[in-house]
Amino acid sequence: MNCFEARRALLTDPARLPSTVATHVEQCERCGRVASQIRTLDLRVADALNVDPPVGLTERLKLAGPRRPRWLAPSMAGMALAASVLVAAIVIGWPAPSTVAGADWAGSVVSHTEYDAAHELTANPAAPADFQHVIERLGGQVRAIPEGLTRAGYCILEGRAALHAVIERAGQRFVVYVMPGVSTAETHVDLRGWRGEIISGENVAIAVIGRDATDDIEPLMKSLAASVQWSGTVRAG
Amino acid sequence: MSRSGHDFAALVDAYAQDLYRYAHWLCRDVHIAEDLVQDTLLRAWKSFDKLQDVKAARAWLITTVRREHLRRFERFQPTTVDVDEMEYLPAVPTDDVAAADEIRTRLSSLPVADREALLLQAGYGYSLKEIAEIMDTTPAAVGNRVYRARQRLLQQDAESGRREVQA
Repeated sequence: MNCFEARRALLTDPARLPSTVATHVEQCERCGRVASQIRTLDLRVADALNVDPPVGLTERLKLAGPRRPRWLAPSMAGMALAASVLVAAIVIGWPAPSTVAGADWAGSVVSHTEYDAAHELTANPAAPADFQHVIERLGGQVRAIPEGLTRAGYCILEGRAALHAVIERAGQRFVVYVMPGVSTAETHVDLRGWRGEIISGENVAIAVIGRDATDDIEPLMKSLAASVQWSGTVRAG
Repeated sequence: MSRSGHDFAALVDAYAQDLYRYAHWLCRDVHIAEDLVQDTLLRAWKSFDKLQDVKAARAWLITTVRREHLRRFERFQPTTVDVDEMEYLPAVPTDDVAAADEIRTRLSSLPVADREALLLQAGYGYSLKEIAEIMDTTPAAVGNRVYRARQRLLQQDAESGRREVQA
């Protein structure tokens, strides 16, 4: 073993030195210094990898895992699916107003909320832009971004494209659905700990539910109805 | 073994952060990195039966991230990498930010294959053989890459030290 061979081994795999090299490095002052330099270098290289993963990474991954749709992190497949839904809507027009009963819509929005728990995620700074984009693609116009909006994205309810959003007001999170082409009787939601209301106009329905939703629902409904314009009108109280 | 959402959550808890760091280093984009990790973990979940050995699973996942990145890169990006484009690297939590920035800048000046081999060895602790499997090459080739990478970085350290002495 000579210094050249030892340094070759040190530069190639310093953590797995053959015993002959390790012995030489212990006994040779100059090779010992080189070994120290290389170990310091490797620590600096490892530090370069030490990126802080974004806040909420594991939660988003779990939510977007098997049997869960991806929420506001659209893959190419997700974008293609959303685009195909919209193209189909443009080509064949929105289906006739739904005849699904109000109680069924209540079950549908609660089930979707439990399935795609966007309200458990941290606020997305892009939520206003997402809200505007989804509403416009669904055929509406945005007059104003709802105050306290933290998340917005597409979802499918009873086979129809809809907006799924989260609004936070006074420390409480509300889950909101805007459903074009849906007309249903005014429905009170009280299911599996979720309470809220579903109202509709001629061509759109809005659902708002929350964990402890009570008096705050009505003003939120009104502000939502005022913030989005459709070809028909939405009754709000 | 049956697969469930719980299995997927366990995979996320065990590997997501490690895979994200590697994916981010590869693509330098927070959103693409997250997509790469997502796709990789879903593939892993589908192959759950093969992932019982933790060490083997990690190497398999790293390989999958790398291949998925290359697949996307080939599909969506130019076929060559401009070294100047590699300058951006993310901020790291460290007491010595300047030193961290310096090593990143130096790493970015290395040939891509040399840098990747060195990061897999120094950052993840893989052996030459394991890196060779990840990078689809031979252990000898990996040995040459990490040798060149370390030699060049040490030369840069020495040159930097000489400049400081002269100043």
